[in-house]
Amino acid sequence: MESVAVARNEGAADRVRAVYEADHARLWRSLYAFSGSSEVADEAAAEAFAQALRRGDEIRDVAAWVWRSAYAIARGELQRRRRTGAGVPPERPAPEPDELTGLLATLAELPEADRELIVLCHVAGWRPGELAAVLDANPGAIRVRLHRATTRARELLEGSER
Amino acid sequence: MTDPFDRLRDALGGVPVPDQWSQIEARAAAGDLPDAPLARGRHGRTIARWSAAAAALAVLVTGIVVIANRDTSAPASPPGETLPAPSPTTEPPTPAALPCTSAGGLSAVLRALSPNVANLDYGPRADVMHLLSTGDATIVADIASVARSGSYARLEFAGPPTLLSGSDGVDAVSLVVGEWDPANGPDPLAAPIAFEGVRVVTALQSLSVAPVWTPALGNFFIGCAGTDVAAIDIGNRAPLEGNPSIDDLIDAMIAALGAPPDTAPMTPTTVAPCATHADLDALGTLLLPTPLLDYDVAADLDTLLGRVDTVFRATLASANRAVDGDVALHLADVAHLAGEVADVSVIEAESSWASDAGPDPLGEPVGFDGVELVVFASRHPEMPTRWIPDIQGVFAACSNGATYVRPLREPAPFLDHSSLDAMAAELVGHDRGPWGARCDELTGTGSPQPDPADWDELGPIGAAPGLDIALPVIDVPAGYSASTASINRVPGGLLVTMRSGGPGPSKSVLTVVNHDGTIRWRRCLDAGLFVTVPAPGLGVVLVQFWHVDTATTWAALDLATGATGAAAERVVHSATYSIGGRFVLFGSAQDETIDANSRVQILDSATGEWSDAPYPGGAHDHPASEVWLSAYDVDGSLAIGLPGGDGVPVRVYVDDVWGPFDPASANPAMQALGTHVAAQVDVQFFWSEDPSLTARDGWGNELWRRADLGTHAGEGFTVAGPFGDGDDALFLVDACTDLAEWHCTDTRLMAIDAHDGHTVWEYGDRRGYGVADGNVAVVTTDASGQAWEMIDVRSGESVAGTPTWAGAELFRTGCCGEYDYQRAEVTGGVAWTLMYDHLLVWYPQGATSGTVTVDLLGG
Repeated sequence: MESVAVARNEGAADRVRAVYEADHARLWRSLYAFSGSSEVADEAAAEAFAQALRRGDEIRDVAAWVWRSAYAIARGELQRRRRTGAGVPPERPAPEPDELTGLLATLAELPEADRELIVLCHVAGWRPGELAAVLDANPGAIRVRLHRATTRARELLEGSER
Repeated sequence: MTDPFDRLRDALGGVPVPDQWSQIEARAAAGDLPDAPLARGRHGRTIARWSAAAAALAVLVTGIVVIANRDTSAPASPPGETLPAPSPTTEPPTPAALPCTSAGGLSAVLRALSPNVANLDYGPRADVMHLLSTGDATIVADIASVARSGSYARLEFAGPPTLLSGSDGVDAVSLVVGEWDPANGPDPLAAPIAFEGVRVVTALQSLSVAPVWTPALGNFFIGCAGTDVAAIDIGNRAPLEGNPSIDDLIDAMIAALGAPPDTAPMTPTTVAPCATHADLDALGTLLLPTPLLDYDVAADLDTLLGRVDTVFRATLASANRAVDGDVALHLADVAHLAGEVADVSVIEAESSWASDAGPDPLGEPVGFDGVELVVFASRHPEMPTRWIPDIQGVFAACSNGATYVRPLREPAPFLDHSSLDAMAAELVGHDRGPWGARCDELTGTGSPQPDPADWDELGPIGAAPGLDIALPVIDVPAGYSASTASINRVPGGLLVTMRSGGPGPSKSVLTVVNHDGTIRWRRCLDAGLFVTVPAPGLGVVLVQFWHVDTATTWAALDLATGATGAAAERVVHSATYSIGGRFVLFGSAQDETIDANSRVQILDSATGEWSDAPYPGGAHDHPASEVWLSAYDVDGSLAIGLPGGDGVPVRVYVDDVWGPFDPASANPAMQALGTHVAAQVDVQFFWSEDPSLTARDGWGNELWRRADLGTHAGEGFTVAGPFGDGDDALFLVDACTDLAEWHCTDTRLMAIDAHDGHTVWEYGDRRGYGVADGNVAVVTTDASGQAWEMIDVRSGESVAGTPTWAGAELFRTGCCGEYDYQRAEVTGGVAWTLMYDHLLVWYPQGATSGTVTVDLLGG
């Protein structure tokens, strides 16, 4: 029995590793855009993949699970920081060019839920129909929310360019 | 201009991403069994130990179930991914769902929906806007199954439908298919047919003859979700022009909701002059020839203004027949007269042209020369970017002044028709502003009486609110925030501050409502308001205004009369402020640079005395708007701090001198400040570290940690307090002691000692928290949240002689954005609940008899 369990877990680890190879950079950058903090992105991405590894083959859709979990962790971390007044300063020396600093500051003006949709769609590349699975939400509602969030984000970002 | 999202992606592409795989493996290896709550903690040791035991038990139980079901392949159900329950063996197996992944699959779905029903002969809707404006509700929904219900095929939803426009409450869609003729054999819809991946967008009507929602002809589109399969108009079984998928079609409709009208101006082929009465009459016949016999007649200007969103004057540039038959009037030189300041370029008036009446004179666009209008218009109820004129709301005259004013729709005899200038002047003078009712200023007289001394601390309050204040509400288009209210307690009453929302210029209303329900004074101001700071010692409320394109300014309004006084002159242009207890700090003017001569202005709001202090040396040469100091009320004495990055002051001003913050010094004032800062205990749940409830003092030092309470699953109330002082201080905590994947299965309301974290008392269920102060709190009576009671926070017991208040909203504070519109607050012995458009005020028992209703904008 033990060997079967080990083999099953190894297979699960391979699936997580495959998702890591395919999605990690995209996930990390989108988390960074969402939170404005490399530390939050580090924590959320690493913890989500680690939990996926621990859960083994309990998880059927690893990619959707990791993305959903990473954003839940990032939301929680942002909430904790707001409560403690810690803000979200980049803990590493700012790696981004000046334009990105401005864009992220502009994105930060969006409500958190809107910002999440924006980065998942326009940074991470999830299509509206796929977002419903990632966010475990009603597809139609996601489309409506995404449309409105995109309109607001576009106005803000174009405004910041002027 | 580059697409902003392309810029964002490009910029992010240059950010290096760390390789975290080794770290991930190490974390996974360090963790316990995979029962740690999702996204809640890195280690979760305490919970994980319990979870390990639970998991072992679950394996045992699962083994028994597996044997019983003889299903050795069934995997354990992972959290958040619930497996379908096994079908009872006594029922027939459920047939497989019809998958919708291809055009063939969609055809099979269509056949299942309406077998043997002939297609009707009609044209599909060419315009998605028409779909959105037709019927009682337009929805997007995923369809789970269909079955016969009499003469209907009833489509059940896979989940809640999304409402695009119209009324909510659609529970299913019923297609008219007619009764089944048994001569045709077994009814294929006799048993439910399941679908997978079927999505529809449809405009529905709520039938008066049957309790069903059914689509009008041409208003039902169906397709395969998440695929490129062309959506089908179910009426004629044909794809739409361009073969859009169902998701493309939905996107187009969503975009159309926020898009400009489809009645873009076209180049007129003819131009109609306007110089005489005859020209005006011809104009009326051309544009809106059909008299409306049955409509809600406005008999006075207030009624007419009350039912429209905006009134403006404009030049009529051109007109044409819109797709849906309405007349589109294209405007130029639009000038606001009353109501919302809106960006209107087209209004669309209900009209029609009978095809047997000859060629439509508006079949081609018509231009106009010298026609001016006054228009009363409202946003389209379903499409807020489009505007429709009121039935009594279009008045025209030739711009040469040689004609009378002609109503193009129904007349409004109460308006001055002598000229459009006279009509416009009358409207400007009658403008109600954004509040939906006129805001008339009232000036107070006399001196407000101070509140009774026993109103200083919360105690038993009345069974009913003493005041029920109706607040003005501004209808705002999607994407804008609605008006907001803030409430301050002032001697003898409450100061209610309303700030306008929406796209128009900022407006504010400040009203003092006396405790007996009378209005003491009211100010209607053409500016947004940031802050209101009552200063009873000065007899004023200090307010900070926000002006468009100019700097912020402070002003002082007399608490007795509402008059603007001179009390704030010394800080009128102050850039920054800080409130610490009774002390308010005001920084230098926002265009100043701090130097050795700069002074911080200090107001003791209790006594009304002003004083000043220098800035710390480190602030010199910085713009005043960048230097924020903190005020501390240390047992009635002022200290000023220059905060560091963690909020703790690094330099402080005590005994008239700036110096390093050294609580260990021999200076008693410095020691007192150190004690004061340390006493600012913060208690909260942490969930991205070890899940725990952790207390830290004002320096950030951990005081205690409770790992047995897990962390909290939801948003909203988790921790409140501290209540009480010194050794008696405690916090109310909504704890989650058993957190499942996405929800809490064991919640409880607890009182936790602020100093050592021990449990003082607890209820074994989750409770809502309303308001608390001193020794009492208002909490829900149980987890349902439908009623409230007052408890003693020391014992958790109900306070003797207090009622139970029935009503989930009565003391509820909404989470997140809802907080702006639904929240309960308390100052001393007076509590209030803001409930969107009402403000309920609760007074100590015996202070009031019954509830007095108040209209904030009334007399």
